Amino acid sequence: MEIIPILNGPIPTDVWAHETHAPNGALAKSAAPWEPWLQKIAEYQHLGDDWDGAGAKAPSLELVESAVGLAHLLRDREMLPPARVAPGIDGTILFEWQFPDGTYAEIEVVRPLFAEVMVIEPGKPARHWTLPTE
Amino acid sequence: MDEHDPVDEGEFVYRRIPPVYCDLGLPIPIQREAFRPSANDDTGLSVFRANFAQPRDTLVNVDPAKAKDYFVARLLVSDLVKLGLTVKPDPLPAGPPGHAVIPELSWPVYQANKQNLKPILVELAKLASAAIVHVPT
Repeated sequence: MEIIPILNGPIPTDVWAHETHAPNGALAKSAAPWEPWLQKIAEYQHLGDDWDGAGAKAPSLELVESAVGLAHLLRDREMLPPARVAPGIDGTILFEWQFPDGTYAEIEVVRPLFAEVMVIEPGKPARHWTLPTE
Repeated sequence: MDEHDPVDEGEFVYRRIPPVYCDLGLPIPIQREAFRPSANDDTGLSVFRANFAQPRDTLVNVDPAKAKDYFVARLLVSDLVKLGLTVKPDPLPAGPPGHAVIPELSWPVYQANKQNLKPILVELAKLASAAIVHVPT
């Protein structure tokens, strides 16, 4: 699964931060075919607390910018766009991939410039690591 | 039958699913985040026993403007047990009826054991995706 080597590759803090704080701002850059997802993530900056009607916490602007920056970084590495992005109930942002062979992968940006990765391949235990890698 | 009675493994429970966590166009429509405990879930993740409530009943204490967009999924308790989870009665005086909790998915337990529990949330999402019993009207 091509996503795995890309996710497993080095994602240094300075590279992620560069994408997040690009001259025009990460929220302003274009990146088809990730574009619909980038727009969706950018919209999360307008979520308020209790956005789900059940007490969910809204992501901070800094976290939204980090998620957009990470998306640009992954797009630049020609990673497939996610199957879904979603705000977490605790102010995080999730990227999710589902593959025909049953592989499931996700990145959860849990705070600015920090994310948790989980990959579950059929018949194998889940693998976890964090970003940035260095 | 009383809401305080122990939950049988043959029972079904309902879990309400915010619309942002359900995309019917995906192989696994429900996102695992729909099963992640919030800070309010101090004793366990909320579910509702199907013996006491209809799927729509589970939405009565969600903001009405948002409840209309919610989905509801059904889970077999024995499937939860296979994942190492239990369901304990936790009736709410103000309803909805049949409230119960999954103590292994309380906020403090999840925070302490997130890495091990995330794959279980994915399994819950798969089970729930196979039995979406209420869709927004």
